Amino acid sequence: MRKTPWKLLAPFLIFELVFIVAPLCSVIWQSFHPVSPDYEILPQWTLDNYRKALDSSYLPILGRTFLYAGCASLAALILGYPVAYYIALKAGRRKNLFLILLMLPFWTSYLIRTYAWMTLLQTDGLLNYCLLQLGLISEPLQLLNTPGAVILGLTYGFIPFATLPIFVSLEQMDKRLIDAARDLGANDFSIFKEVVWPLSLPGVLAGGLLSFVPALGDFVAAELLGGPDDQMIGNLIQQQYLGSFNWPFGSALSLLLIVLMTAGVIAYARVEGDEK
Amino acid sequence: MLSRRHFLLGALALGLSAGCRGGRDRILNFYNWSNYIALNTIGDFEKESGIRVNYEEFSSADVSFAKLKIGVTGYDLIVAPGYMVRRMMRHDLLYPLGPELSLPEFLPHIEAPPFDPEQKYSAPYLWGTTGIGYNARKIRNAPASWSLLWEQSLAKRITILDEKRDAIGVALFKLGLDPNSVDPGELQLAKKELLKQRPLVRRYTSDFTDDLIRGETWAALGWSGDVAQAQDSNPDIRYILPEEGSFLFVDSLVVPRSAPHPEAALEFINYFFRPEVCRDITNATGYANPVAASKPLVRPELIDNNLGYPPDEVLSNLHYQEDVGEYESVWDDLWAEVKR
Amino acid sequence: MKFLKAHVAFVYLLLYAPICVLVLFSFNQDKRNVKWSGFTLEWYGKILQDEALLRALWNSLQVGFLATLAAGVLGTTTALALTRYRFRGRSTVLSMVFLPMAVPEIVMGTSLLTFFVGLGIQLSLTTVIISHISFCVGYCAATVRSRLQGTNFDLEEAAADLGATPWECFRLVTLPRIYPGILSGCLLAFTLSLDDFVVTFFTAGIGAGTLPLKIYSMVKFGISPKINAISTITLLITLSALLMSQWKSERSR
Repeated sequence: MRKTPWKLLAPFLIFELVFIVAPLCSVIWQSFHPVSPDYEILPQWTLDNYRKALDSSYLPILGRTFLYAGCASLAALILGYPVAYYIALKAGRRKNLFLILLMLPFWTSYLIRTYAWMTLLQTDGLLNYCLLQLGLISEPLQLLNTPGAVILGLTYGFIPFATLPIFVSLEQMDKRLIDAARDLGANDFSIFKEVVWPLSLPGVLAGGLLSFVPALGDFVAAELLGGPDDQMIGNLIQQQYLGSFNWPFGSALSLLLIVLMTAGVIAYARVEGDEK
Repeated sequence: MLSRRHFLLGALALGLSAGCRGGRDRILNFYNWSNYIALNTIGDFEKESGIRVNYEEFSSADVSFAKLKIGVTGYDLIVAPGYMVRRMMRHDLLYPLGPELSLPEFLPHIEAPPFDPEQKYSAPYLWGTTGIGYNARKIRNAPASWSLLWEQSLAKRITILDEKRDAIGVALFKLGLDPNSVDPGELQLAKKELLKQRPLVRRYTSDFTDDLIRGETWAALGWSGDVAQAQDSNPDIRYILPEEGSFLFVDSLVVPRSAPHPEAALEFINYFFRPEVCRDITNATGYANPVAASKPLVRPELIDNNLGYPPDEVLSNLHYQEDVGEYESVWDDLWAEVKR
Repeated sequence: MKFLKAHVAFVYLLLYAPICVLVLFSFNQDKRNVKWSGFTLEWYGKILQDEALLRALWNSLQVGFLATLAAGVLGTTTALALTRYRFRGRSTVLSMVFLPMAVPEIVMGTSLLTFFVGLGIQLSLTTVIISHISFCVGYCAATVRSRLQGTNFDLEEAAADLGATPWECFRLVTLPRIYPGILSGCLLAFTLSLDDFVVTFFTAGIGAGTLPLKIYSMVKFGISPKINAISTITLLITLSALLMSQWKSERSR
């Protein structure tokens, strides 16, 4: 059907236009103006903010952000896929229990959970204690304020966002397909490869996006668990807004990030559309 | 697609918040740093004055300034650091504190802070110093010098405040230069020092206390009251005010121009100046108060101690952070480059 | 199969490791709550006296519930539109779904505040709810969408042919099918809303503070074990409600 379902789309579109697009217009406007030493936005138009943002000295931080967010998203997917599979196909009546147990830790404060990780990872923390007792190391490891700690923090925070969409798409799969394949003599591995995996792909892609996109803008993990060399672009934007009060430059950086991500989403939509 | 239910609930919320303002109750909307007051202060004030206090806390001055700059109104009384008072004065966001204020005798070094020498728009609240908090068990024989924060053997055990004025200022102190310098040559030297320091730094953060207590950081650039609090949790923590000189800061009570209840704010300020009241706050927070008559009442460990009320010879070595005017962005860029 | 179970157990262990620390430290004597200094139950008692904390919790729950409700509705309608119909501008709508997720929180918060102030809208709990809906709606839409993808709508068309109204088609045919997807999306949205700080900070009126605002404001001087205690209680209540409903559903076999 080529007709546009206006009645279905209208509520969302109106809300989005009024409360997201309109406020963002002020951000776009800001990015094209310079700022006075007094933090006032000056009336003349300029591309300087974008020139500064595209300056090659910011490339490392952008690259690092994509790397950390990408690793975290991938790790979350790898950790989450078997969990989604188990809940959707093996948990039976306990499905809802497992689902809510998955989400429950995240109803506590992100900050406290991150502090709890700091307690676990610190030099005289539980992890080091276990490793020492097991004889795997002879000296406690410096786990905090490292890239690994940041990626761990990010992964942990996004496990549910990666897992839930995978669960959702596995759940709606017709289980009889698996039975049929088994009746035809296929082993577990080929069932997975030929039946389950392709059908779960939309969920995997959605889970990947739902964890990767917000991870790119995250600033808490790098701030609490990272060192000076682990700053992500979220920290940079945060600093521009709240430290230097250079909102135009912060806006330019944010808009570049948004444009990059939106381009990625459109590419994903095209790929999906082609698959059909 | 907001249903009628949403509208009703929303109207209720708006109605409640509107009813909270004006009406028969006298109200004070007070915005302060977290844990920057004694437990009994607000309650006692409410009982005596009949004013109901809506007490809200923030953890970062910059974030609350951002809110005020955009135009959020409704706060009557705010506790702000010096540079924020200066910014707010420049943007004409403050209500002049008039003759209704009964100023007590202040300690001499607090009387004319550079951001508001005539104390027209601000009343001093608490003051402190910037120094080094360190773990005496891990660091024996710590020198009374800023060079401790450049000590190679402390690699990745040093925390530096994420505050450009403090961090760059300390580098300037170490080099024997003016900590409020705007000279480009001097600033470049400071930048070199900071870049030399960077590989040793574990984190750039203003929340250094937990790391100090935990023992992950052994030496931190920090503020006196915070270090005093860390000491409460970990008795190995000590405080140094280096010989090269250091910073003195004063946090002030200000009333925004948009305040709905400025008289209530002024009444609180007068209440705060009572020696017993500010004594309670000093005892609770570890930060000294500006009222001269209150000093003898404060708990004895804080007197003549660098952590509380430093002795006079130390005080003479302390500087305020002065306005750098249009060089603010130079300092901003410098700091951003160091942190990258 | 054994490997699968082991993996699932490992992941849940990982998820709950910090939670165990959180619960343990709710009994910590040290009010700074960084190092363990002794066992005490005092914080649980102190919660009941802390009116501001309880109000913040209540605000959080209200906002969470209302924002999730609205986001669920908006998300479901959008997901339906995106999957059932092919129309020009599908990619644009899809990008609009993901747009709020891509915007850094500080930008979202300050721009919303500028917007409200510019229009003269007073900050309150309502403005918080609106801001929460804006970042939750994308997650709901994406989750429901992954449920709808790959299904066909033949049943709906059959029902329509048999004379059902569009609303009846949705209520009796589509809804039961996509119910798990909507639930999952709402679960995600509720989780996001409950813990949001940055956007909430900029859009909350005086007295409309939520629990994260209270918690983040304590960062500088140490997060009191009171917060651990209140989180532990919330977890315990939810867990018991969950186990009870699970036990009831297993009994009614």
